Amino acid sequence: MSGDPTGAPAYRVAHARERLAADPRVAALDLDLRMVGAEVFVTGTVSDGAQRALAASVVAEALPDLVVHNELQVAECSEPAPDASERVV
Amino acid sequence: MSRIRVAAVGDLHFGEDSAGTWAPHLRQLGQAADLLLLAGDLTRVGRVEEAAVLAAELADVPVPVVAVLGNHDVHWGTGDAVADTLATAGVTVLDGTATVLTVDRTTVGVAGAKGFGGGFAGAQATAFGEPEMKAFARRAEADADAFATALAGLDTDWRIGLLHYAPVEDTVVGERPEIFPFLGSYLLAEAADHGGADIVVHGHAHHGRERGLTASGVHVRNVAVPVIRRSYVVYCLGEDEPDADPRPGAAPHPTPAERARHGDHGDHAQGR
Repeated sequence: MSGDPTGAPAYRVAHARERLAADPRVAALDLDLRMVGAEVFVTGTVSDGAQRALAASVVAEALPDLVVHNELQVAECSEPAPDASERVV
Repeated sequence: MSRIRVAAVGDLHFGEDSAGTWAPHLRQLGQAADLLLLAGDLTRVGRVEEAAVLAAELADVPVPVVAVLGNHDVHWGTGDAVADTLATAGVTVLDGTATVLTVDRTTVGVAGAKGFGGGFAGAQATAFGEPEMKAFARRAEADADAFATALAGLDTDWRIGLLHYAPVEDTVVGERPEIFPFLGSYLLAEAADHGGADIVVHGHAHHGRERGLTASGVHVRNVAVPVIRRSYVVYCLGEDEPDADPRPGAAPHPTPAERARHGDHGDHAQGR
């Protein structure tokens, strides 16, 4: 249903988000899509560069008539500094 | 009772293509922490193959590892096999259960559960109406009850709660408020308060915040990778007391180097 260019943008975006969750290559539940005219902006954070590209391709499959802008960020996951700890109690 | 250093991280979302993406960022872990907690969503969709990649990544971790599963880890319908795969790598996987570690002379209890949604006090789901709605609310109650029982059974120097879902709103702020009922349950915070937890760590809310408190003042930390932006964070419980044993003639605590020479990294109930 997201692929129907006559559909309401809000519904098309919602169905595309369902595709992002259901596609086992991505399984992303927390990415945001914003449709502006014939373009869609994909934002949020993914684990690596491959996931970044895959998520955008799923959006492109779901919304084939739109130009996809991949604005996804790759999560930082560097090791903390050796003395970086929080005294909690 | 000595200080303990707890490393924690959640929402690693390992896929079959994730080999080598995390282990390089664990090189200091043995010097920085006494144990490592994994707060669920360890895999992308809960396939055993994904868990096997993570298990291999954990092979050289020099401290005990305790984990709970998250909603992604049960998505494929093989959550038990995911847990078994991690267990074969020495990870203690908790599911409404607890484990006890000994770090030097200090006992550390970890009560763990995936938890569930249902929402937070004042806007929580109730077991009313359609069977599906009742099932949703009662699932949250059952998971919180199991967590409470596991925590209450701990008679240890430190008591840690390990969850995937959030126990408080504080650490999910940043997410859209409409989805709060899918991010956690106040029943988990109530359990932590009654059980006297010293800290509760969780994941799940990628857009949330790291730090929060329960109504009774238990420290809550959201350790999802997108929140902490690190391969793990370390929380210290207690003061550093290198030789606090008051008994005359008591042997001093072994140094980390001495422990390493003897291969002593603590022990826990289900082995590692």
